[in-house]
Amino acid sequence: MGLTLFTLLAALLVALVAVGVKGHGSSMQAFRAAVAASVAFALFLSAGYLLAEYYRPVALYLLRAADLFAIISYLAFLRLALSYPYASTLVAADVAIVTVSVALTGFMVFTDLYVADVKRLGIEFIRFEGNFYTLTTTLGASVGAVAVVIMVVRAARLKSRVYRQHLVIMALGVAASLAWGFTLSVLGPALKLSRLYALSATNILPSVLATAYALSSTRVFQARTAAKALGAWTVIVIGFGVPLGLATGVGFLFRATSSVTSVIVALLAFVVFGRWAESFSRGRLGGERDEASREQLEAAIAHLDLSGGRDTVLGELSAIMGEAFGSSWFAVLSEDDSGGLRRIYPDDDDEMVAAPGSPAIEALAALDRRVILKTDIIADASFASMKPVLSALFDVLGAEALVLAKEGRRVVGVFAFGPKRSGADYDALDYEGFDAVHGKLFVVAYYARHVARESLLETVEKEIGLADQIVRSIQEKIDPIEHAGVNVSFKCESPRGLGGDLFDSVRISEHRWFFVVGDISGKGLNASMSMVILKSMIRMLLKEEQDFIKLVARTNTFIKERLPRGTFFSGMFGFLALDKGAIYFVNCGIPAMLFRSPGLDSVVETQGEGKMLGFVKNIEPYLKTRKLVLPPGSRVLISTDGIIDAESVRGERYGKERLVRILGENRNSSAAETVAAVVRSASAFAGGRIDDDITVVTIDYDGPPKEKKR
Amino acid sequence: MTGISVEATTRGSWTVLAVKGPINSYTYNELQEKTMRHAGRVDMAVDLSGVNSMTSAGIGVLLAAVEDAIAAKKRFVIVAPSEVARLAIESTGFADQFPSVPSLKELPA
Repeated sequence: MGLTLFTLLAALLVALVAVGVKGHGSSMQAFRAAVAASVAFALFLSAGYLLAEYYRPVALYLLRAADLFAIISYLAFLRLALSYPYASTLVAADVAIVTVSVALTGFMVFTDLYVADVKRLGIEFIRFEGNFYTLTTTLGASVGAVAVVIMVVRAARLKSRVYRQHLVIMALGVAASLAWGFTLSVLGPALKLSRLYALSATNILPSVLATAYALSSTRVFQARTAAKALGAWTVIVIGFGVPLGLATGVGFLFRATSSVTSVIVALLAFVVFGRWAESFSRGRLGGERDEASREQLEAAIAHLDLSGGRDTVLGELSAIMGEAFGSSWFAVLSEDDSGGLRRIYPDDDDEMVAAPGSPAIEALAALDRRVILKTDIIADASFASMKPVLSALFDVLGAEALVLAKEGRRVVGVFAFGPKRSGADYDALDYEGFDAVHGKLFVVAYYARHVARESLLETVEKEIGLADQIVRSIQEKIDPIEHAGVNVSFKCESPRGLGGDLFDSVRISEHRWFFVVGDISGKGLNASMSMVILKSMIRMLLKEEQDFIKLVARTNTFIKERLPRGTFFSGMFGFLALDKGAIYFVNCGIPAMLFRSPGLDSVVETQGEGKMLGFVKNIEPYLKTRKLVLPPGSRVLISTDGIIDAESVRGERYGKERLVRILGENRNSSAAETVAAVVRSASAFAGGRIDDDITVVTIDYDGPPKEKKR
Repeated sequence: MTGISVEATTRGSWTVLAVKGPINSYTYNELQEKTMRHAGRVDMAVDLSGVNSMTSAGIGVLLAAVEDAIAAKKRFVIVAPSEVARLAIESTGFADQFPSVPSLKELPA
């Protein structure tokens, strides 16, 4: 097998990569034809080479066919060069390519004019060339060269930078394949490289991989970024690839005495050096620095002084974003009361940019992305149906990047970024940066949407009052649990008006609600910002995720990866199924979920053990869904730690026992009265001042809907 | 309201923060400030033997310090947590995320 193995692996790799490239149109068809021909080239060449020692007649046909497929692949790349990036129908070109391919098949495979015979002695490969061998290979290579030239010329003439970049990448890939293949296959004997003949088909790698990358990427990269990546991989290849090769080579030397040992040594070397290279590339090649700068940017936005008024806040944000992304300008659109989008910064003229119900609003609402670069609209096939509308919106704004603040389908705000001062396009790194700060921008969008203009600001309290306004407007936005079979009451309070406690409920069906109760760590503005973001995220995940455990696990991942370090969530996620008379819940560290059954007249703790969110990356293995059956007349009381941990002036803790007692004393009170009694009791215990955020929820279950009707 | 004291000392390669008093929403700022000053820069030990109450605010500070230390490949350890501190840490369900030693003498070299 030997070197042929590498050729087969190359065929497998390009086939797998090509399968991952999505798209349609004539360019994509040309790419698929090129991949199919390239894979066939590699497979036929490998098979022919292997058989050339003992089955020369079969090998001869296989190797002729291999070269035929190599030329067909260049014809397919030529077709791609002629039409990309447009879905042009080039009937004449297609007919010509098919005709040439058929003619070449007859000429190259079934006559001796191209290759008369082949022979292999060990790894020495000998080819007996026909009279037209040189002419055919030169013309075949010329097809590839013409494809490269056309790609370069068309790249120079295209206005779109992203398409220009695509064509240049493709041209480089095809040129590399051409040089590589021609050197090993055609010039091999003259250059004394005939022993490497079996590797000549690995030249399919650069052309197919480069084209696959070009067709999959929708963002430009800057020369500096590309140079950095290239440098990184060079270091990895030299620093880690060479020792890996040596280790594998040493293992190979022992193959005769112990083939198993040699395979194990090679695998171990691969694992060790692979992990080493991965760790090196993550730690030393800029990944961590990029992350650190994104964290600094997040921190800068989080520290915006909201008491300064809307225009001042947006002005400061503009300066931060301009410095971070190099934008020439920055604008903010905010949803107005009618549902339209108005420009509120920098002109402050409240110009209507997108009217309510307009195609632009509908397109933004339908998008499941929060960051859009102009290059995405141009080059990403998934935007095809919205391309005209979104392009028009980008043109109206003159923007090159948009960050959307959405609550479900509603677009609360849009942050628009003008062209970069350097003249470059926003690239993949910028995209990651926008994505990382999206949560913080969401809060600013909410601030801009809900906080009064500067002229009215003087009548409003300072920071706490402002932020409290935001928090309350979001906190109060729930689907209230209103149903004949249940009575739900809750209280969410923070000692300073600002807090991270959360109660939210979402109606799932006629008799079912999803709800979440809990506490985001931290205090004041930071906690309330995290709460706002988390509430929005949970609602978004609820629409996407059918699996209850996975919903909680994804929330955990969001907290761990997106919220500030040290943030965690203690609480519970529940589904109230009134038709089943049950609560299905996941305890994520809620300290008290008390249940009182009318039959037993006693109170029991039902929360069980729970794991708080935000401590580990993957919490799924730790999560467990529990079911609490609710007999008619039963009551459930849920409380966050603010009540339980309330301290008296003597340093005593309120604790669960007092909560149980209040629940028992209020067995004939309504849900609302019971909540009020708990808060009153804890507040009195703490000398009138509870230090922490508190949330208390009481659910009184009267019976399933059917029983009520009877 | 009883205050908190956070005293920083050095013990070998470790910076030890000895915390005394309650860690709650009124007092956690001082602990946060001190931990942020050292976390991720040096090997840090937080002595919680003198803590007489601890709410989620304290857990958040410790979690942030642990994450900073992990990110910077530094060591972080909790020393001799008092009963209330231990219970608060255990209430997270992830006590194993907070490595601890029973006394300052047990700090790794």
